[in-house]
Amino acid sequence: MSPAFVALVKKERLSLLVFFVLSVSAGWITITVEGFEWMFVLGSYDRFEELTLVQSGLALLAGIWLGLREEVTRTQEFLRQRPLAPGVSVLARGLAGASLAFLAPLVAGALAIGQDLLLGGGGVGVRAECWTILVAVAASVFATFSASFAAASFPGSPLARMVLLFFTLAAQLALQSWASSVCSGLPWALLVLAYGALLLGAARAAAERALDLDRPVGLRVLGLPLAFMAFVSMAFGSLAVAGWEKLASQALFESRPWIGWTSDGRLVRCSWVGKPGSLAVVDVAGKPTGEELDDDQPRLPPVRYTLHGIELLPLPAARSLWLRNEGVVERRIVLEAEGARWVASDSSSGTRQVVPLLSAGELGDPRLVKHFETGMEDEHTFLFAPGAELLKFSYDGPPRLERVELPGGARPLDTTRFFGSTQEWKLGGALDTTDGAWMYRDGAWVRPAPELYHQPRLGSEILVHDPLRPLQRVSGPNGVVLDIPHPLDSARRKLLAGWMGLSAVLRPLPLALLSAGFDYERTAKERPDEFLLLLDPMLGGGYAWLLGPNVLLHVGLAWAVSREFARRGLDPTRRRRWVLAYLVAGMWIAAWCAALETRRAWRKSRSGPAPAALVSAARRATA
Amino acid sequence: MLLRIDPRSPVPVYEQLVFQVKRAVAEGLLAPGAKLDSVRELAKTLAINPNTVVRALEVLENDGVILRKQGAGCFVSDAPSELAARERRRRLEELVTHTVTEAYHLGFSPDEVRTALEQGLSALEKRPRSPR
Amino acid sequence: MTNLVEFRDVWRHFGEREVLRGLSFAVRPGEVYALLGRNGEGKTTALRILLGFLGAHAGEARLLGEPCEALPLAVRGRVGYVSEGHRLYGEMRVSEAVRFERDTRPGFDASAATQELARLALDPAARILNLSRGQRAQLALVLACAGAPEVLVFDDPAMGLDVVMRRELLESLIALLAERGTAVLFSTHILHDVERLADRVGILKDGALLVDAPLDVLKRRIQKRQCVPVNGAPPALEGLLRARRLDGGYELTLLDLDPAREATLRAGSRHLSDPLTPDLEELFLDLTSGPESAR
Repeated sequence: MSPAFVALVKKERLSLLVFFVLSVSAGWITITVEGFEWMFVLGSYDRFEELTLVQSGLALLAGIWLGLREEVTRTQEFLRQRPLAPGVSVLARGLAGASLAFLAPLVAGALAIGQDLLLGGGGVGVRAECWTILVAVAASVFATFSASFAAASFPGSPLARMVLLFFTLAAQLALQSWASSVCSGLPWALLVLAYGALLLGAARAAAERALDLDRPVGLRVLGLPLAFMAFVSMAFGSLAVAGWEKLASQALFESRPWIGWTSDGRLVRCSWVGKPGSLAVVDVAGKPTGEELDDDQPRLPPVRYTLHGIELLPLPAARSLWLRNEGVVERRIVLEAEGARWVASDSSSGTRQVVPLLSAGELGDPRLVKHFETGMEDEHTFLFAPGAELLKFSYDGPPRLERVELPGGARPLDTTRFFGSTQEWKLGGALDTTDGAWMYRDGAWVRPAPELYHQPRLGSEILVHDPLRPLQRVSGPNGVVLDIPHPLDSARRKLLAGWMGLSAVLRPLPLALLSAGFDYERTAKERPDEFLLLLDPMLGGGYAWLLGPNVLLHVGLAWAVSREFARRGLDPTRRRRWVLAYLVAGMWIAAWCAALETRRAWRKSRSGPAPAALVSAARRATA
Repeated sequence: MLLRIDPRSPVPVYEQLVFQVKRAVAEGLLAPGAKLDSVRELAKTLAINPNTVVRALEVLENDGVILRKQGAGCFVSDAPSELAARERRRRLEELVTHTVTEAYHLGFSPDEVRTALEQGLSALEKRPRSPR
Repeated sequence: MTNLVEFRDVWRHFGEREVLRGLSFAVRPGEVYALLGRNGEGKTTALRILLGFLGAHAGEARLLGEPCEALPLAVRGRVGYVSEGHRLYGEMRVSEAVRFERDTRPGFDASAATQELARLALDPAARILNLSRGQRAQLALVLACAGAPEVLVFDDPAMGLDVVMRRELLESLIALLAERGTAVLFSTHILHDVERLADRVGILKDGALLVDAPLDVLKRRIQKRQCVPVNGAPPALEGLLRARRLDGGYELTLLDLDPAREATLRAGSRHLSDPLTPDLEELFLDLTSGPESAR
């Protein structure tokens, strides 16, 4: 590192120190507040998200502060007149700040662990795997700093900087939520780190030329930064479009019927009519048939067990079960029976829940299989250990793990995550053991009511895959089926269908083309949720002709932009780059374009004869 | 060396300096062979651009008032002026014409001018002069 | 002899406002060039274009032979710059500032700078924001000069300084000039200093140079005469820059009054004074005040 680089970092040492201390302190406090054992023993991802949020917030502010430093002290020219590449100052500040942003969560974690070890915390020990999560948190904070720093130090108008900040952060959010469902741990952390490094590199490239609103932005800004913005805007635009499309599709299917399972084994459509709580059977057109479902039993207060959008209203005494299907478009698999709370997950399934590995502790080195907390009291958090052992946290004194004995020496079965509707549903926290089902209520193990436990299995599949007019088949036990069509039979539905078509037309061109090449329904089964937000269900689901208007729109837009820029006097290279950007991102790059390529920047100087000098003397011939 | 310049005067600064040095030599304040202050010191004392000092010294050297010795500095020349006699005569005639013209425009008669000249000359004679 | 600074027909606008319109001038090695002009006439803009902080919209600006738009780093090392207001890092101490300069500028003579600062009695441990304006100016000057630059560019170095500080600054500059013969380009409002310091003067008006000449040439060619014209109005004369009404007559500012024109003037005046040479301040006022009075 050159002495200049070091000097530039040293210059900012106060800001950097304050930031680092604040960030570590905030992190440490957050870990303490959220619960050390939640983070470092159970590896609760939610708690780590809190930590990420707190430190990202600080990193955001620090990035903006450091990015604006030279402007605030008005020393840009003082720096720029040096024999230093302009990007060095930006890189020095950015790298220093980003490195500290990365280190802070790790240091905070180390401090918390050290504190726990010192205070003799329950012998629970240290989760080795939590370091993986901490690195992921650190990567996230690094990227946030880089984004805000790059935006603040960008030589553009305040509008340009705000647009840049918005898109860089949005991109990071999207990247994180996508990546966390695709991969977890170190690969994701590396991806996010690469994103942050890319932003720092772009900041350095953009710093070559100082801000000058009366001249066009440097060509370097139209290289890497523009490519980045085009890509990000494209993704953002796609997400926005997908959001609208999803709303429209939900609205389209909002009058989905309830499905009822009658006591005599039939599948019927039903809806709430008449006195409250009374479900009446309706026909295809929605008119009551006069039949009502058995509803004269006392019931448990409705508990919403949301399993991907399925509401269940358990009626312990009755054998009817009502459920409502949702999301016909966004998920072809409607009823995903996730099972009860007692779900074990392992790290190879690619889910968010990381399997903790206890590296030390009084229980030796058990490999724990974690499950979700129920959302109820901590008491109900149980852990499965190999050898079919059951453990739970005891909070008398420092949190410790203790064994739990089931009645009659029953041992828990190894439950696994499953798809489809072929498994029994387990409700209300019932645990499947070698001795049937047990439920933990009010400090004791009880048998769940059979009605709670055994419910008829209902399945759903889509017979005709059409984003606008699917045909759904619900099946019950003993081969009973009910076919439910979803026609566009009202003006409102037709309007919503039109809206969905419009969304497909507005989807950015590359993704639109990609969507048309994929079978949406098959993709939805195989790929994680987030891919669905980028691909269009209409284009991939049988309405591929919408690609025509889409292409026309985007090519037309790019052509119009090219013509306008030619009129303003942009050279062909610049025009080409903007045309490419518009082809990639569509109208979603417009804000960035307006912020950068202003009319003012391209105004030509009024040339002509210069005013003549009055007294102009040549120099003496020699000195 | 007691030199004064007035930056706001219509006379260029270097000319003022030249004139002042010449007068100092003429009045005997600067003996032949005496060393002048360096460019740097002169510039500092007078608070003027050193280039101006250099220019004045060049003119002085051309006029034979001083000698510039490389590395040693500037010295008042102790030999008769290097200028040709004809050049000196031309200068004297110039001065006379200038004075006479101005005096005429001021409205003085030739007699009055003559009297004033003689007064100035006798004042000059009274001052101790170094042999030339 | 190559020009260290060269402006050739430089145009620059900010939004709708044309600030520089065909500015052309040059600075030779060892020359002290003073750029004058009223506020907002473009002095700072010209200097910022020279240092490459702004770009010219038309024309060419060169510094040490290299285009100002893309100054190589080596060239930047040979140029010293003191900005308007002497912007430095306020929270740094004086000694830190010297160290910072040394680390970021190869060829910077830190020991010479420290010595000079000691001579000026600037406390190395003092924070820059606690220094007085004059001390900051001196520090900025020392930092700019200790790198042995070939060209020094100052934007209004005496701004905000009192009389004593200005004289000290002047003396420091003169010492520097005497030692190294650096070329200096500076813009200022303190015209007295210009008369002492400048080899050449450039007066900016309406975006271009109205005057670009040595000071003595300027003073030689422009003179003032008081006149009482024969018939009420001053005679129309080529080279009449300004006619200021006085009680009973006019004060005329004239350029290049040759004998022929003088005769015409005398013919049209009942009374004509001897030539009065204005000092630079009066010259400046006559040339720059009033709309288009001088062109």
